[in-house]
Amino acid sequence: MEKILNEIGKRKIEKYDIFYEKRIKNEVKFEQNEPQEFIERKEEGYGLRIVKDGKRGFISFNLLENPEEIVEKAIESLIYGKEIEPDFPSEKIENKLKIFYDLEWEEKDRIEIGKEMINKISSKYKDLRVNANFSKEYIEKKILNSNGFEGEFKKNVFSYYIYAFGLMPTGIVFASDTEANFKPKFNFDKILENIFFLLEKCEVEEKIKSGRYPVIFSPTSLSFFTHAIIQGIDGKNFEKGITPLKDKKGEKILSDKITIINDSEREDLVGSAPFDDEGVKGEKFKFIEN
Amino acid sequence: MKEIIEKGLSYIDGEMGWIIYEITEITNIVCFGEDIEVSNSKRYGGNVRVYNNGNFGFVTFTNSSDVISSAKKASILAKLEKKEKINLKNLKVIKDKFSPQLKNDPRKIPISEKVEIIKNYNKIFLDSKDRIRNAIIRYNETETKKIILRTDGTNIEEERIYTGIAFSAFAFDGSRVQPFMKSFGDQRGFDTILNKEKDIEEAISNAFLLLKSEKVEGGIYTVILDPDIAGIFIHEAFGHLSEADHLHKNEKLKEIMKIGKKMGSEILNVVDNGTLYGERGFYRYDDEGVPSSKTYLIKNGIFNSRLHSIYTASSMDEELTGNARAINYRFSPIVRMSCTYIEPGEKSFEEVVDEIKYGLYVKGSIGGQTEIEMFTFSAQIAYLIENGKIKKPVRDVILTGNVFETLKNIDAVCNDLKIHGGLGGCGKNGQFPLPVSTGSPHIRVKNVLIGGK
Repeated sequence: MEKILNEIGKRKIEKYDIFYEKRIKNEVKFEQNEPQEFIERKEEGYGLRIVKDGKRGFISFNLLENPEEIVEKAIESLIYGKEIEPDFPSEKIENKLKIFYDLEWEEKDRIEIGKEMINKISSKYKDLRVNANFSKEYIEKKILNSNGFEGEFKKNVFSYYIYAFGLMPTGIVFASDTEANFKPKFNFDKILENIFFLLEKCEVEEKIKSGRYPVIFSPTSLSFFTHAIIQGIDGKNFEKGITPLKDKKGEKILSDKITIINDSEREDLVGSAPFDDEGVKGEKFKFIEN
Repeated sequence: MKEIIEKGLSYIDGEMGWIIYEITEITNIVCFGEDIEVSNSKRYGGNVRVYNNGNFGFVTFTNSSDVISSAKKASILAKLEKKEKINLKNLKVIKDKFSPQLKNDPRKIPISEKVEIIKNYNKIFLDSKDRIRNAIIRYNETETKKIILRTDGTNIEEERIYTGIAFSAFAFDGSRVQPFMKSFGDQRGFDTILNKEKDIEEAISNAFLLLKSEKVEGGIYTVILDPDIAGIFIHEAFGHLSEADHLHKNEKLKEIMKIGKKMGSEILNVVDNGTLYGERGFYRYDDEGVPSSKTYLIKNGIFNSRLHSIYTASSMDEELTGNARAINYRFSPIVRMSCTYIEPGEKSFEEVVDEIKYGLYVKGSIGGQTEIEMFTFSAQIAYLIENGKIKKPVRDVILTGNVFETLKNIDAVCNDLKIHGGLGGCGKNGQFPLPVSTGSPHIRVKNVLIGGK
């Protein structure tokens, strides 16, 4: 970051922010019931946003071999950049969130867990095959800007997915489960219970007629709905008038049983962070209430 | 730099090893309403992949100086487990350099000229505020230089330059937002994005038209799919089933997807063809250094071939097809499609429409999903067909079905093949977007379940 700061200083750019991210991901992958691939994925990269004469420019890169060229290209993009006067944050955020646990998840342990789960599924459903992935990802982020903000945080995210699929007398079926956590602690018995519950439902074919039904959505199946709502409340879509929720603030748009919360300070959920990618402090808010 | 990368090969300890290094530069110009933003990104990176005793070790790196440590680590990872050994097929050693020859190379065009073209397109949208609320235009130019090395001596350099444009018009009546999208993208150069004024006008007109249109009545229809949605259908619903990685060790699934099995009527021919120079899904070599090829997935209605990586082809003892691809150096190659399309038949579009008493003409796709044999797609726009005539437009058309039944219900294939690239791509196992092309002529399908009001 220092090399970039030096180049910025030479060119008298008054407003800027620099974003740095590093990720190291280790994965143990099973395919068709067997361990198949062991992965170490290392990556890091930078984003530089500069503001000059009210215009914004941006460049991203992952190698700092030529900082002069990087800053020059960011300046080149200024010519066409949007005219804004961004108010970069200056507040010093004390990172109180406990989201980093310096824990390991040994590859041999992941291999054993995978083999055990796959054996249990295969012994009951011989014609199915299981793909699975057990991963640990280290994430580190740093941001600094011309208003004096400097912030950084890191977290380890442990996750798995398991996907059983194949042919049953009822047709081609699949059942899957996935979860992520700050610690490598998962209730694999419960996960298997979920998979078996889904597969048992696949054993009997129930044909339904097209039509209107009362429907119970499981928590994970609701993601399509929240995705649509998030599009609707996207600030950019509001600004440009392409959301049906424009001018609807304060109006009833859903059942009063529905409250939707965004909370970036939950210490038990992997999406949490002390600040966003512009350095703005995370908080809990209800974007749809009752 | 190449010499440094090549040094890594001698540190690979395994039955087979690959090193890939790539440099990718991306330029984006985005107009959203009156705002215009230009951005540039440059990414360097590589990976080492080692095969040993049925397992792969895979390590990525950013700086070329890390290639040796990555080769050592990937070799260790590949030995973490032992399982039933699959001997990889004998491969042809290739030494080649490939750069596309573009008539109008986007890299030679100043950014100011590109911005001016996009601004002129945007003016058409801005001047249409009586019909649409807003619009987005996205120009993308991606240049990738790739080195593919294999421990058997294969040494390939390949360059690809993708250029494309996508735009969306949004009509709004106070309660409902109605988008209409169009996109163009391939490896033919800058000409791909020129002269799009008529297409922009079509997006504006269709967004406005759909806002006023009625919802389709749900039911079973005879449907004509246009080349865009038919291409997406054949890619999503059948192409993915042809990828060998999900069944190469599953005897029961192999029976469902058995070579020689009848999948459709004799008029149906489905191809995956990575050799189509200039198309978005074109490549000379896949990410294992195997040449791309033309593969008939369905020939005269009969399932003819699967798509393979070296590992799946070796496991099933079938021919290599050159379909192991990764979206970038951060991912290991998996079995993917290239340019997948239905070959043209003999009928004209007019003939096929003329034979329908009551049906739907469905155009464009705005998304959908497939779960093994079941599919659901949403169309951009559809028109009722009555007594051989195309009538009023209808909206919110969702097609659902079982791929095997649907393939058997294709009863007409027209003679007007069109291949589409666009700016997006295919997603699989967390790798998105992979540049691919999809295509088809107009096709007619009987008994399609349409969701609606």
